Amino acid sequence: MTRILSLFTNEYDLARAVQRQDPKAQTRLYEKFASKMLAVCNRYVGDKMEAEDVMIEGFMKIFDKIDQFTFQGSFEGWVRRIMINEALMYVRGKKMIAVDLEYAIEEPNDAAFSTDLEAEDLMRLIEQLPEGYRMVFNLYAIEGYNHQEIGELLGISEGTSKSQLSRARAILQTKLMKLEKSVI
Amino acid sequence: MKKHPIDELFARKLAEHRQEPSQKAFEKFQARLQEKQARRRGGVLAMNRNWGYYAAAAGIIAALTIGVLSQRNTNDIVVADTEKPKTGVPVQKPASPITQDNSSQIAQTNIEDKKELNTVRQALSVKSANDIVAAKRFNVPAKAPAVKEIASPIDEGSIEAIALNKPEEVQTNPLQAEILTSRNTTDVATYADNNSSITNKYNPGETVVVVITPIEETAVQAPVETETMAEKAEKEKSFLAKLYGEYKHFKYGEKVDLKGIGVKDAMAKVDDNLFKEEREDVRDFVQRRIGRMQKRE
Repeated sequence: MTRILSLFTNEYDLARAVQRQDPKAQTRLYEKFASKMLAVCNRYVGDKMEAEDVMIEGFMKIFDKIDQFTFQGSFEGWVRRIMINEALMYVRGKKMIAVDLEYAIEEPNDAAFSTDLEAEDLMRLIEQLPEGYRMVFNLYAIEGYNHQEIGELLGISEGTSKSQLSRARAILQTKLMKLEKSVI
Repeated sequence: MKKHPIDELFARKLAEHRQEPSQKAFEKFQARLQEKQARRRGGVLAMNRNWGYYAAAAGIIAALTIGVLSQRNTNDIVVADTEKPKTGVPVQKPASPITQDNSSQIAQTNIEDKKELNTVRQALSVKSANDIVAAKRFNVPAKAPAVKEIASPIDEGSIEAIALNKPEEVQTNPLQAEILTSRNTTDVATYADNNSSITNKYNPGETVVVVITPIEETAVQAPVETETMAEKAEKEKSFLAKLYGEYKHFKYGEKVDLKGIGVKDAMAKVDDNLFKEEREDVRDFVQRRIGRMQKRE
């Protein structure tokens, strides 16, 4: 393993090796990004087992489309976008994006939250969100997409994206307050 | 723009969050990877399902190509073999052309050089009447060089041996010519006498062996070769090349030898008819002037 790690110190070198369909480089790519990409996929899919499948499919897609990488910008960012798209396609394929407007609650306030919460706790909170809210919140709050891009990605309007984000925040705020109370 | 606290909290905690995939996921990944590679390899073969036919066709074409090329090579060799004897025929000719060459070379020699005599042991086979005629040519020029001694006729077995060694005779003949050039006048006389005795002594069909002992073979051969090479080069020159050479002589004020290249008259001959009318006009004019002068007188 360490030998393989030492072979590809640079992201671009690794990308070039993957372009040559080098099996060692492909394995190295998996080892380098699997944990991070599994977390990404899990945030969208909401189930770790399914997220692993999505991630593996995402890696296969990366190997197929590696020639499209232009060596401009972050290779990790390119890999991450492919993983997100794969996860979104998976969720769409399962028709999980059912926006339940009735589920929405009032706007959350700007109350501060404890930073002592672990990432796994936050992941669980996201997993509990309805699919539509989860998608929009992940894309906007964590990945940094704007509402127009989210609308294009999910096939919804900007207004729908904004309202879903608002409601996702409200749900999370409520759950975070409950979580903090239980911790205290 | 200020980020929402919930967005900020989740982004900070989850942007770099990692979840270790299970070993099962890695095995799945490896299985998919191998499946993909196998599909890619199989894809190449699947694309060319008839690759066996293509390979067989390529092999047949290659075999045919090699066959044709090798056949061409053998034909070339055969042609070369058939051409070789043609070019070698003059070389393998027996005594007659050799003696002709010798006579011409002898004619060109300068006897006054009186160099040190070089002798070469050489055998000349005189089998036919032509050979005798050729042998007589040694006597023809008054300035003909000399051969030191002429041996007695040899038996038939030795004739065969000499006949087998004909190419060697060809090689040594120019040497003989050069040797003959360096004879002094007394040797020329003895050579002439001896040669006259050759034709008198020996009958047609007998083999005459001329024995000449070489002194400095290599020292003599070199100039002969250079002379012959220069002559050959001169002969091989085309008429235009020779003419150009003479033109260069003329250009640099050197002597021009147009006769040497076959041009008989350097000056162009003028046709008399060309100036016939002008000549008559001049004559009439002169006569008229003379007539007028006579009238005045």
